[in-house]
Order: sequence, then C-alpha cells, then structure tokens
Amino acid sequence: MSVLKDTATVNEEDANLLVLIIDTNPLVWKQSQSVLPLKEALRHLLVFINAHLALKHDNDVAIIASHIGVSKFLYPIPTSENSDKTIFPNMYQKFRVIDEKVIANICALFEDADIPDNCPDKGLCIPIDVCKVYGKDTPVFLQQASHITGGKYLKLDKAQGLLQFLMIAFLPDRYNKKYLCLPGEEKVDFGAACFCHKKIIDDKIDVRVSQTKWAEDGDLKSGLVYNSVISN
Amino acid sequence: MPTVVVAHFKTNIYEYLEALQKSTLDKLYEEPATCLAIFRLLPSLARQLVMSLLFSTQVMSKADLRQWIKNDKESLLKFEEALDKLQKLHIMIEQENKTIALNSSFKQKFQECLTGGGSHQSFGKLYNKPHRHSQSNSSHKLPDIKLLDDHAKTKWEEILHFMVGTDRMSLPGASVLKVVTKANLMREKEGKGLEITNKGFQFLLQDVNTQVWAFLIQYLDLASEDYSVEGLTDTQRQLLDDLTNYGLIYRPKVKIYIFDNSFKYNVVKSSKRYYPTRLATTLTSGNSAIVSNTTSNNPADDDDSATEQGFIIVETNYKLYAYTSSQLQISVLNLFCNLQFQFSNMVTAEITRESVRKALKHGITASQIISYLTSHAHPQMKKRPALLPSTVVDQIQLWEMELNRLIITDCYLYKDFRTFADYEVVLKHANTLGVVVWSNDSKRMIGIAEAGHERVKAFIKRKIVQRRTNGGDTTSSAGGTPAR
Repeated sequence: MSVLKDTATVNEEDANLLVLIIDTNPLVWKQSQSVLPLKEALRHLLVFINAHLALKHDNDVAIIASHIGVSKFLYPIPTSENSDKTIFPNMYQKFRVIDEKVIANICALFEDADIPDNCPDKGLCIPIDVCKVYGKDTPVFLQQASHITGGKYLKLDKAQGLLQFLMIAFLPDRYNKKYLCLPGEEKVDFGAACFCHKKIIDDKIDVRVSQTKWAEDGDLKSGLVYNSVISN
Repeated sequence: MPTVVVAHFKTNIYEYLEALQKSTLDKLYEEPATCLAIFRLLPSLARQLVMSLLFSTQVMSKADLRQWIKNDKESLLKFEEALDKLQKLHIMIEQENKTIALNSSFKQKFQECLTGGGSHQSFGKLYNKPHRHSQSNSSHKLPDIKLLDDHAKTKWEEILHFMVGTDRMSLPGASVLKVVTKANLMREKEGKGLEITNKGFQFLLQDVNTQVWAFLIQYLDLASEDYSVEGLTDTQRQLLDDLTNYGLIYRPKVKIYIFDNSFKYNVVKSSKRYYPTRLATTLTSGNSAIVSNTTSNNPADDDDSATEQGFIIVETNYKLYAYTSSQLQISVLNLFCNLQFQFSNMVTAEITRESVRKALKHGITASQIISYLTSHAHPQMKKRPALLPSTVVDQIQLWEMELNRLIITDCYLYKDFRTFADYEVVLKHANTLGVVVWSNDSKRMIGIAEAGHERVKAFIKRKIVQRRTNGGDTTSSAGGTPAR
C-alpha cells in the first residue's frame, strides 16, 4: 500500500502514497448488504484515508474503483475547475476535498452504466496489501500477489470492525512495519492462478511457466495487472 | 563550553510542549486542529500507536501494547521512546490499574478531526456552496502558491537580513525586533542599535523549519506576557498581524467597491481573509527544506532561489566557491570562512583553522557548519559519492575537538573501603548499573555518576545492615564526597 522509491532507504519522514483499490462490484456489495453495506464500508474507508493523510503532511492518496470490467480513478481526477473550494470550519481542508471527490465519483460510477474503458493499473512497484471483506472463497490470485510483493493478505472476521482492522493492520508504512508485529498471513496457495478467471490451474507444471500461461480467451488488459505484480 | 547539538526542529517544540501545564495541554486537545498539528509532531511509531488505539474500545495494558511490537532491541527502543513521548504530552495516560488509554479529550477531538464530526461526510452533502467571492464585488484575486511563497520568502529573509546586518533590507516590524532581542538572538549595543549574539549566529545556520519554530516559541512566550490582559479577539487579531510580519501568513489588501447612488467609493483595507503560507503549513511536516521545496515549484527562478538549491563547492584544499550574490548567504559564510574575492555571481573563500575557531567561539558547532555545507552543496558536488571532501569534514571536527579536550562530569567519590573485597563488590554492582565514571583498584576509589549515587548508597547501606545482622563486624564504610 505504501509507495517508496527505494527499499534500501526507508526514512521516518518519507511521505507515503496510499493506493487504495476498492472492489465496487455492485452484485457482491448487494449480497453483503446485511453484513456490511457499501455505504458503511465507504464511511470506514474515508476515515482510514483521512487517517493516512493525517499521519504526514506530504502523504497522498490515490483511490481506484475496480468495477465490472473496468477500473476507474475516484481520486485524483484532473479537473479544470478547482476554484470552487469552500472552507469548512469543522474539517481539515484536504480531508474534506478528498472525501467529497470520492463520494461524488463513486456515486457517478454507480449511476453511469456506460463507463469509458480505461485501465489505470501500471507497473506499481509496491507491496500490495489485500483486505478481504466479504465472501467465502479465497482469492488465490490476490493472495499470491500480496505475498510476492511483500504485502499482507488478511480476511476480515467482523465486518463492523473494518475501520479498526484497517487502522491496525493496514495503516503502518514501511518504516513502522520494521518495528511492528502485524496480524499474520494465512497459508498461501502457490498453485498457479489464471489471471483472467482467477481460478487455480490444476495441472501444476513449473510455477513460473504456468503463471505466465494465458487462458485461451485471456485478454491483454487483465494481463497487465498481473505482470506488474511479478515485475517486482 | 559550547555543547549545543544541532537540534532537529522538533526538539524545540517538544521542549516547549512538555513544559506546558497539564491543563494547558488539555485545552490544546479540545480543538481537532491542534490535535492534528501536535499529532504530526510525534515520532512515526507513536503516530501509528495513536491511530491503532483511536477507534479501539478495548482496554489495553502496556504489555498488550508491547504485543504489537517486534521482539528485538531496536523495535522495543522505538516503542519505549514513542510511549514516553506520548505520556509526556499527556496524549496517552497510564491509569492506576495499569491500563493505558488515550487522553479522552484528545481521543474524542481527534476522532472528530478524522471523521469531520460524524454527520459531515454522510452521503447527502456532496456539493459546495458557492464561493463568497463570486457574490461580493471584490476585485481581489485569489492568491496562488507563488505569491504566497514569495511573500513568505521576502518576509522571512527580511528578518535574517536584518540579523546579519546587510543594509539593503527594510526594517522589519516591531514585533520582530521584540522577538529577536527577547530570544537573545540580538542584543542592544550602546548607541549602535542591535547587534547579533552567539545564539543568533547559531540560529542563522539552522534550517528554516528550526528557525521558524524557535521564533514562534519565543513569540508565544512573549505573547503571553504582552496580551494576556487584552480581549481574546484582539489577541488573535494581533497574532495574525504579527504572523504576517514573519511571513507565515498572507493577508491581502483588498479594494472594496461600494456602490451607493451611482457614486463609487473605493475603500482599501486589510482583507478579512488570511492565507497561511507554506512556511506555516509545512511546519509540522518532517521535511525541513521548505525553501528549496517552494522554489522548485517556480519555473521562473530568480537569482535567490537558484542559490537555495545549492551553491557551495568545497575543494579538498579547503577552498570554497559559493555561487551566490545574496548578501545574506555571504554573511552566513563569513561566519566560518575567510572571504577572499567577490565577483558578480560568486565569492571565493577559504576554510582555515582561525576562521573555524572564530565560529566555534561564537558557539557554532562543527556539525552545524558541516550540515550547512552539506545542505547547501552545489549540484555538482552531489554527483560525488561523498558529498563533502572527507579531509575537510574531519579537519573541522578535529578543530572542534581541540577546544573540547576536557569533558567535565559531576560525580561522587567513594573511598576508604576497608577491604579490597568490599571495594570489589561495590564496583561490580555499580558496573551492572552502568554508573561508574572512574575507578582505581590500588587506591580503592570509585567515581559514581550523579544519576547512580542514590542507588549505590542504598546498596552499601543494605550490605552494612546485612553484615550487622549476620553478627560480623561493620567492615565497610563509604564516603560520599562530591568531586570533579
């Protein structure tokens, strides 16, 4: 989650960029309505984002919604007009601006069925932490991704405790991770996962070979996500 | 003896905050904004601990907290340091039943700071109210970052220029003069106005963040004296005026047109709006090089900003070339170099034993000189593996050590042990406590550091009592004589 140019020098005062990818698949969120509605989850996430921004003045954040078939930046979005800032006495300006943008963009995302296709995922040279909020099956693909990049894969037991969970396990930057014991990972299934269908490929050949094996109808777009993971 | 270490800017503000009354601190924690500001000054691990506890409802003990920390020496050290700071600032409170909790007012207000007071960010409220400016008839433009940076820079440099006594500056505001004299950065010289002091010399070599903090803290001390009787709003207004003088805040002059029966009145007054400059907003961030940050954003670099990106070349033969025409920079260099020639865009100088000793006598330390040279090194220097020539760095440090051949430590002298065994037992115990400054076996004397005196004394008394109850003679006597 935290971006640092160079692993060798992790300084206490380095600024961190939090890249938050939210799975916004409406079908799944509808299923999870009784456990953790999207609205509630977003409220937790926004506080988490604010907490990250509060840690350091230079900390920044990028929020991406992984929607059906597309992913879209919720923040930052280049806008031509930025003069319509209003100062809210009750809230730190930066929190307010980002929170508003995220909420507005996520609303737009859910209203707009016909989203232009763009894939923002590029070579992210970072540890990927995964927090699974809802659902029974283990996303082997993401689990492997977090393992390879030195990130964490964690499953949330009590959905209502999302915020506290994020605060303890996902907020620490690389500097603090050197000193902290964080919740341990579950066993990682190293079975090769097909990156288009996210399913385990049964015939285990050499892991490296099978990991780069394309599913027959695999398209290049989802391949990009995957390649960026192993390029570390 | 100058024993001043190059203090990180946070040291200053910690000292100030820690010295505050508990009630004063509690008052600070009543505002979400001050909670955030103080929070950002904490060590990184302390910040993480606060965040982990902030929304937690569990009751934790110190041992529980330690579970979060890896079990190696460095981690535990960082942990203790973080806890210590949090407790000193009353953000974390250890209760009687050994549980640890966040200061309730801090917890509540900081939560509010992150959540926006709860209802603010709920889904309905998405769009902004129109900006007030679009409604009023003001001709005032919103200041951009460049304008704010320029304001900050000119105002702050005005102060520094004034201190080094370059003549091109205008006299800074009265409150600036008050602070520099009060902070003992400058002092009154009979009939000649103000003169820079040793402390002032040190001040000049520090980075901007440290300078600003030092200034603000002095100002706060002053302000509490000067304005406590006045009304609160007056105080605040005065504070804003003064901060404008320091370049921390920008306050535009506004022309307000009032239309009245076709007559146009043109009223000029200070705006009710204030804009904090980046000198102020980056105060709580750890990165100290604000000035170089700010200038790098201005594509239209003027002379001064180019010099701030690094202009000093030091050669192994102690020759120094500084590509600057700024009187301020030259005066600072003059603190520890012999200036030789000045050209239109550069000066040459030499670092000599005499010039460095002169600086050391003014209370400037070797590490301050080295860190100044490092942070202002020319980009060309940065291409080399070691930034500064090691000969020069070592030599400057050696010159400093010449002045510090003796280190004086206060200690208690224990002598007249009756037997060598007695002496040995005490020495061994003191060694485990790590408080032995000096010892001599043949003379049976031990020098114990002040910090350990009470514990060693208690140990010896315990031993004597033990002997007595065992029926033996009182064999040990210890003299606690303070010695240097």
